[in-house]
Amino acid sequence: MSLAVDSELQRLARLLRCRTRDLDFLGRFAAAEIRALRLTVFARMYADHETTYSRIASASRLLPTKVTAPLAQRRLPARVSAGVVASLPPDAAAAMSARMSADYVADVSGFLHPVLSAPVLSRFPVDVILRVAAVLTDREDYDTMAEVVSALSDEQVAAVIDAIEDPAVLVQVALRVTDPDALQHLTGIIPEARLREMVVWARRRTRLWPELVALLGRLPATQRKRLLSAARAS
Amino acid sequence: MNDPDETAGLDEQLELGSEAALLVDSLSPAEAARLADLLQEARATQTVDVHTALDSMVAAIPPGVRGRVRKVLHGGRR
Repeated sequence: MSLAVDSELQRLARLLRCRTRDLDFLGRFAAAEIRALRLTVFARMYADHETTYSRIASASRLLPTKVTAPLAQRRLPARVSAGVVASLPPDAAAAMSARMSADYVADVSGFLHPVLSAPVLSRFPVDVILRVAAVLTDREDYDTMAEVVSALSDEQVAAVIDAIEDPAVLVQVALRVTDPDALQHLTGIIPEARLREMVVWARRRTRLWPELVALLGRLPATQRKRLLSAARAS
Repeated sequence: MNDPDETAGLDEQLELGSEAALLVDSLSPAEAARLADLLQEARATQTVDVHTALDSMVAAIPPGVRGRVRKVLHGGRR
């Protein structure tokens, strides 16, 4: 089973609150198919409570951010907060994120819908994104990191790449990106020198090297050439 | 071939896009039923979580604005 498939199964299991092995029967499908199923499940579960999420977002406007941010952190489980995020005005959500702990925002990130949350996440201050990325890196939660790539701005992604010193983390994240546009987004921003470091690191891992080679097939021709050139130079 | 009655649980719960529909159509009746059960359980648990969180949040709101917040949270009722 590829890392991409494994990653999608883990994300679906998280969403369905079950063990990954409960979904072993889906392991025969392509990552893109499991992703499509997951996003459909996501949309269903979001629609169940969309009105309530929207009301919580409206109610939050009655109080100052310095009150609502700690209140949400104390009283809303991460899964519920993730639902509310899409209903918040992006600037209000960004202001709240700056007043929450990085651990809590990292928890919430694991339950965000990548498309619905994009307008909000792209407004988060870069320092918040960096603190959350550090927490996710410590947790080795590469699935979440790979999933939120599509929702972040170029500036945010570049800052995270710059802050992550270990090429192993970049490889682990890149191999778990299952959204083709997000993969293109990520690999397009990674500087040549970092790409070379990633290739050098992956070459020493017999399990990951074929995965990185397979990733080439999911990239557009221009980026494939870029990665191949990094491999030759390494 | 799958028995349509067996996969109705998933079809009823999800509006399937083309890629997801392909996957669901390829599941055996038992697999489709298992997935439908997992989804139903997750939705039920989320409903409990949302209601519990609402009550918990209202209880923690400063008394001066609690009435207004409660009114917004309950859609103008109460």
